[in-house]
Amino acid sequence: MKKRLRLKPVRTSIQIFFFILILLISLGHSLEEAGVTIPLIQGVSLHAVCPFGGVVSLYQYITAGTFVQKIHDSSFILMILVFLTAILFGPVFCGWICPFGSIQEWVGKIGRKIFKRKYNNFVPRKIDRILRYLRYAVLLWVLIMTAVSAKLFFADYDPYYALFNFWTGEVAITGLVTLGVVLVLSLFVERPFCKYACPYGALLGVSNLFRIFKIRRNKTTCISCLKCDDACPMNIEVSTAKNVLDHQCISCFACTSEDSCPVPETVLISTTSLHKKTSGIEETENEN
Amino acid sequence: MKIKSTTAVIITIVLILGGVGVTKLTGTWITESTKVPRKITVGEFAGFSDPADIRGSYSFQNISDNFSISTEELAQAFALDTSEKDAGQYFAKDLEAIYGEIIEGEGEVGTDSIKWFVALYMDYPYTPEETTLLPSPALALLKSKGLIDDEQFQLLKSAIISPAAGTTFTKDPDSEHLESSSENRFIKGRTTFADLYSWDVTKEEIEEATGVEAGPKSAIIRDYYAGLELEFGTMKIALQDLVDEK
Repeated sequence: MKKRLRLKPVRTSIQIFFFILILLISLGHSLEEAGVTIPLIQGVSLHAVCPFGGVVSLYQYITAGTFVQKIHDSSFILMILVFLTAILFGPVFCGWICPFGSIQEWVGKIGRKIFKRKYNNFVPRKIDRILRYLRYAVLLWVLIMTAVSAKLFFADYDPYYALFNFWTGEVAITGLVTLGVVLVLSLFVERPFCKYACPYGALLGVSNLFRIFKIRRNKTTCISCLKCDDACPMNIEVSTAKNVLDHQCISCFACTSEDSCPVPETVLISTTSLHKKTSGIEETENEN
Repeated sequence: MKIKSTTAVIITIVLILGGVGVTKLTGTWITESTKVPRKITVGEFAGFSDPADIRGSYSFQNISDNFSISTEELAQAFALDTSEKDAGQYFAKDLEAIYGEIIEGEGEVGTDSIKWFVALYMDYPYTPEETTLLPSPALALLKSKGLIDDEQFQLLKSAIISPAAGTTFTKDPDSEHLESSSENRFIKGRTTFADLYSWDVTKEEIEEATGVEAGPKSAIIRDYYAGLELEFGTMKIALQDLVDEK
């Protein structure tokens, strides 16, 4: 039997790579002010490699032709590149690259060991469903406040910025508190910030509705073992969906037949539906 | 069309890192500010650099390059010590750290103060934040150069903060602190007439420059002229010129 390449170690390696890269960039920026330079990342700040910086700058760029303070062309370029990947594969940036998503997952491993199956199932489903839309309110709030103030308004609350700058003395207390709360919550809920508060995740999540390559489940071969549901860090019920269009999907691909699904060619990434028309009537979609 | 997860991820990473590489090669990957503020787009000053776009990362040299203000004038306006650090090496963001602890709760001298000062100097429109303050030497400089009229002068007086008595603000790389500059021949709030004499300025020269009788040796210059209902800032400029000539 052909041995499958497990996705988990590949994904973890990529997450570690980007985490270290961002850490080096942030450390390098601090060292630069002290006269020490790290080759390749010289002159790069954390803001310069944040694609969300491009998003919050859009209003000012359109109306005044400039970026919000501390944001540069590089943020805009990254914003466009990440949008391109989202159009193709959904929020793969969230699932594979974002270092703040990664650290929540790593802290969550401790929580999973402590709470076993209860982990990531603490929040009642009804409340959870409503809370999942909170991040759109955060997105709106950040966009409006940044447009009004022409400053990186969210930096004072951003746990990602706090994580990679806490040693600089430039982080607002609100950012440090948010970081602490998120890390503690990560012991109970997988990726709590991504689920309930991340404004960039909210924006990228919309791409799940129209992404070219969708995660699709083949009903005819599915054995309803629910392993795909268990594997999903965002608690999406893949086992009941024909196509995963949930705005919370982070394209980690943990549910696919390349990872948790035991049946080959059952949960996979495809441009077209896995269900052929029968009797001239296509099955109704059953998205989350 | 089906695609493997690993392929999707490889395409994603190649797109992002490749995109960064291509834009680096084409010179569009810019990670630092160009230190050139945007232009004013409307009104009579359209086309000129906009002080409102001065960033905290701008050095005084950057500001001087974009506006017709010398770095020495900027340092003088913000009472910064230039004896050990060149005026052009100060950054707009330094002001917040230098002044921050001294005037906590009263307002702020920071990047917005620089924007405001530059706008006043250039006579460009600018509305500062409500909590923004200017150090008194900034106002004195504007007044002495005839860049603000009496009406503006009176209005601005409510947003003035005096640098701490007898001190010059300077930023230490390790610990931000105030450093005395009594031997640096700068006239400050606690400078006495005795200090002037010790700097080789004569009584006659003082009286000629100020138009009034010089005070006793032990008198603090600021208090003495305040008693005569004369503006210290204006007197200070005249006396500092005398000191600088020595």
